[in-house]
Amino acid sequence: MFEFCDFSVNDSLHILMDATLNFYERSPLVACTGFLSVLCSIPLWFILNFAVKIKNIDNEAVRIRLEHEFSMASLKFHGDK
Amino acid sequence: MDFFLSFVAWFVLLIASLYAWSAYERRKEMLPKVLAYLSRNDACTQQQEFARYAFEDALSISWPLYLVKTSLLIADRDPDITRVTKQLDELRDSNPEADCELDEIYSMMFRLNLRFNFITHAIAFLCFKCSSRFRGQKMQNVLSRAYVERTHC
Repeated sequence: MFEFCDFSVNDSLHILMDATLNFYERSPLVACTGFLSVLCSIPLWFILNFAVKIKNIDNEAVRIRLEHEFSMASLKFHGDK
Repeated sequence: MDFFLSFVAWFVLLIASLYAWSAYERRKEMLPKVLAYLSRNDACTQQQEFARYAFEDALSISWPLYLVKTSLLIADRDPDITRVTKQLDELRDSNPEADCELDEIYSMMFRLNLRFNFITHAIAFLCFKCSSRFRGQKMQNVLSRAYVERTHC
């Protein structure tokens, strides 16, 4: 099928990897951002999910408790009447 | 540059972990205190609402900026704000025991929020210091009051 090519897939991959490594050596900023985003994304995802879920559950608990207190206060008020 | 970027990444991870730690401590320490405060008979409904907003704002990121905004309104002597301050002084005089416990909740909120949100606090402090409205004035209890009045704005 690829008879018109002189080189194999292995050689082409080798050339691509060399090109990317040269690019990263010339621009370390891009390489650093990519590497660190890969490094930090998974622990950040776990930590922030944990924190946000706890936060939402506690806020809901306090909101429901406050509504319950208000409803009980109104019941007491009407009962006194 | 590499070193700087790695420092940024560790810093982001550190702030996220501090946020999670403060959320955990809020559940362990602040939640029973707030629930006990809500079931008090002394506290009126306004104070219970303040306790609830304090509990929610312990983990908010943009909260110190609102604090500075309300302090600027107090310095300008906005009519709505002065009305609310008078109401709060009356509340403070009417039931001081409940107000002392509310102050404890506020101090806990400040402690939890300063742990992870110190950058925004520094920005708010700079805004507060750089504003020319406070130059010649004597500011007392403005920041502690400003939180409560934010809920009415």
